[in-house]
Amino acid sequence: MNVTIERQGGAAVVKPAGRLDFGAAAPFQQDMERALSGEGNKPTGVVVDCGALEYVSSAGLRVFLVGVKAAKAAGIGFAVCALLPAVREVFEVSGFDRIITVVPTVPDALAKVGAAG
Amino acid sequence: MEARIELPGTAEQLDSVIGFLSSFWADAGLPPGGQFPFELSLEELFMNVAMHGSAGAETPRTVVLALRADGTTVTTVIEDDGVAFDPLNAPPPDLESDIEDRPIGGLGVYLVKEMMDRVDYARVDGRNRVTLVKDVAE
Repeated sequence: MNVTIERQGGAAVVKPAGRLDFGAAAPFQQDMERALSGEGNKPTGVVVDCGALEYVSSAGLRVFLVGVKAAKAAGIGFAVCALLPAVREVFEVSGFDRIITVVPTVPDALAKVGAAG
Repeated sequence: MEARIELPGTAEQLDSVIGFLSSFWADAGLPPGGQFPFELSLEELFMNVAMHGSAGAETPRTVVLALRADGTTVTTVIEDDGVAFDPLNAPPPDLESDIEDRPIGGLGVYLVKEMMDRVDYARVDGRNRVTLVKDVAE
C-alpha cells in the first residue's frame, strides 16, 4: 500500500492507495500518527481520503479507530471520505460509519474538520 | 471447480493465501465483484490461526484451504491442526458503545459472519474446520 500525506487548509490529508490488510496496518498506523502530530505543526484536523483504498480488513479498521480516538484526545477533527464500495461495506457492517464521520468528498471532509478547501 | 493448498499458518503466508484465492476466482470465471467477502474472510480466519493458533507453538500450525465453486455458490474450507478452538464462539463486538469506551479488536470474526451466507465450525479428526458458503451471483 502507498500512502501520501499533504496539507490542505491547515488539515492533514492522508491518502492510502491499494490494500490495507494485516501487513499494511502497522506502517499505516505510523503514517496516521505522523499526520495527527503534523510533525511539530499540529493540523486543525485529519482527513483520510479513501478514493484509492481498494480493501480494508479488521486490522486496517483498527488504525482508523486509533486515529479517531487520538484526534479526539488532541482536540482536532477527523473525517473519512470517498469510500469505494468494498470499503464502504466494511465500514457499515462494522458500525464504524456511526463513530467516524464519513462524507462523500475531500472538500466535504475538509469542511467537517474546520479547514477551508 | 475445486482447488486445495496446504501451507504454514504464519503471517508471512497471507499474500500466498490471497494469491491462491485470486487465481481460483479467475480460473473459475466467478464474478470479480464477489471476491471481496472471501478475501476478507480468509484474511481474518487465517490471521486468527497465525496470531493465536501458531503463537508460542514450536512449529506453526499447518493450514489447509479448499475452494469449491458450484455455479455461483462458493464454498471455502479452512482447516488447521491446532488445539480445538471455535473462532465463531467469540463474543460479538460492542458496536454501540461510545468512542472512548470502544475496545480495539474483536471485529474480524463478526465481519466474516456478517458477510457470508453460512459459517460453520467443526472439530474433525483433530483439526479445526471452518466452512464458509456464499452465493456470489451479481
